[in-house]
Amino acid sequence: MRKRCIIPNIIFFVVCILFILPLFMIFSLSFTKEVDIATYGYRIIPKEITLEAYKFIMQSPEQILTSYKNSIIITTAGSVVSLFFTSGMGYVMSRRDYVLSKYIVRYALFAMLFHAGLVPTYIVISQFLKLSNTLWVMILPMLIAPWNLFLMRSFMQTIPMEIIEAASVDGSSELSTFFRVILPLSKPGLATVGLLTVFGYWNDWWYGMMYVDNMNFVPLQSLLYRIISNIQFLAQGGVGTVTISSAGIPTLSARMATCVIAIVPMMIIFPFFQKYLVKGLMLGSVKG
Amino acid sequence: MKKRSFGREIQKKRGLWLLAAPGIVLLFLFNFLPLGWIVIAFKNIDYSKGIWKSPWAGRFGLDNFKFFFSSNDAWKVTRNTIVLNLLFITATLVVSVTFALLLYEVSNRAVKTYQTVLFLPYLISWIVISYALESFIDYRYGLINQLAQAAGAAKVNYYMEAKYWYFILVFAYIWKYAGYYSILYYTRLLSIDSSYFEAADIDGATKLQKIWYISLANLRPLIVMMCLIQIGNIFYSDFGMYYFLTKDNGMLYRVTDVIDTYTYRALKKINDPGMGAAVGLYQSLVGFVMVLLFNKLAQKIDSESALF
Repeated sequence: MRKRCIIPNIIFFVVCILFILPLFMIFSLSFTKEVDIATYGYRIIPKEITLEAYKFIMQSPEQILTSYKNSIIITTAGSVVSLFFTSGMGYVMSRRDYVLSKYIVRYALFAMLFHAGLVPTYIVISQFLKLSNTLWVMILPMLIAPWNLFLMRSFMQTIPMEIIEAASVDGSSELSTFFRVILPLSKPGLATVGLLTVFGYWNDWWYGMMYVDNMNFVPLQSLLYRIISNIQFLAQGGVGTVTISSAGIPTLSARMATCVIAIVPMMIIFPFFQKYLVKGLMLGSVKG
Repeated sequence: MKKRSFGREIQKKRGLWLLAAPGIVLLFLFNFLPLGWIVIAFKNIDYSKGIWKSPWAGRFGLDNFKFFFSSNDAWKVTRNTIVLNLLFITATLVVSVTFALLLYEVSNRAVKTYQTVLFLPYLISWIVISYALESFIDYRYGLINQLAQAAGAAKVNYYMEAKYWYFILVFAYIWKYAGYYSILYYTRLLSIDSSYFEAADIDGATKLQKIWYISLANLRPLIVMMCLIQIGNIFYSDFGMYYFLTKDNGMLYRVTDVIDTYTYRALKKINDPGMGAAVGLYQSLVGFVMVLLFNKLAQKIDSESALF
């Protein structure tokens, strides 16, 4: 019987407040009046709640809408295809009876452990594959993440070999065994890897920052980055930067509002899938 | 004979080959193909001539390396990378194990709530975190400077003073990752057989004794494994953290410039891909050896906890 104590609860109460505070600041600043920031500085609770910042953004929402659309396309297409490819290859890696399985595992392991480095990868993607300034560059390189392959493999290794053999005795081909037997049995694994992939795509700024200059293809995270660096540039007295919105320089609270718009969708879906994530990360940490 | 059965096996199970093929192709394009371009590290790239026709760097092609290792930068970025990573690993370990032990003491319902909150930062990108950080440490409006002023202390411009960044980065790292690790450790604690604790109660063990001899003793293999994985990756940094939180501010490089940010600047800002590739290769090679070494070590300590 585990005892219930009050002290740990008090500690966690404080810890939770500290953990939420930074995110809460973004929310509350997005509802703060610009004048109040100038007079009172950043405050945890706004003096007066206002939608000023959101209205400002909505005056010229084209760029945000474009970026939103890009992020949604990248995340949806990327996650669906990635989950399909990852589960396929992960399954083959889990099939110890298959002669090529151990070579494929080594292939993925090497890809996970040795990196060609930033520059060679950059040159290959931008000059050899010519993917710069397309949505593809933010989808293709992340379709297969070696770490997720091993995570998927460890999920699928828990499926008893007898089930696969029984299907094969019944005359099922390898492909139909995979689709009709293996995938339905791997739902928890698919949920975990799927969720990690969705967050990975939604939060990715790397490919947007490295390979995309064309504002038509910029995803949300890169937009946030550009807003920061633009403001810095303007603050340094630079001229001729890309205008983020035709209404002018985003104000402090408007930047926070943009941030809120970017994180809200993930905040909403996270609690529903949390249990899969926790379970999956545990499994993933056990063994590759 | 054996060869034929090998071929027949592949032929018979060609469905499996089809399933693995897309992944194999993608890994080839984005992970293996770039290996060929490592040659850039040994060249002085002149874009007008193209990569393959650019001249070699020096007589043996090693000038990029020579230049890097004879500058102060090599030592600076290597030291920063390792020191900061070591700080992150220790701080996160202490905090997350403490959280896990405390989580073990509260009711299941409460655990769910705390878990959600602790885990949330793991899913927030460094860009968003950089916005949040600014609301705390901004010179004019930041919360911390407001507090300092209210207390009569002088304001500090954190974006200009490198020495504070050890703390700032460690705090940020804990905030983002401690929840993730504490959940891993907590899940391991749950698997301890409760009869150990009952026996200890009968023997009159104190709380601290139980934590030390039962909880921590059971966590040890997982702790060792997580630390070895992290130390194996000690040559790599979370680029986004350094780049966005510091706003890539040159005043802070003394503390915050790491191998990854250095390589990025060589490529994108200074436009010296040869140098970038050379530093990247140095990172890859040492990093690779480190991973293999620490995996071996993990195998020695506990064969179950090796990564591969």
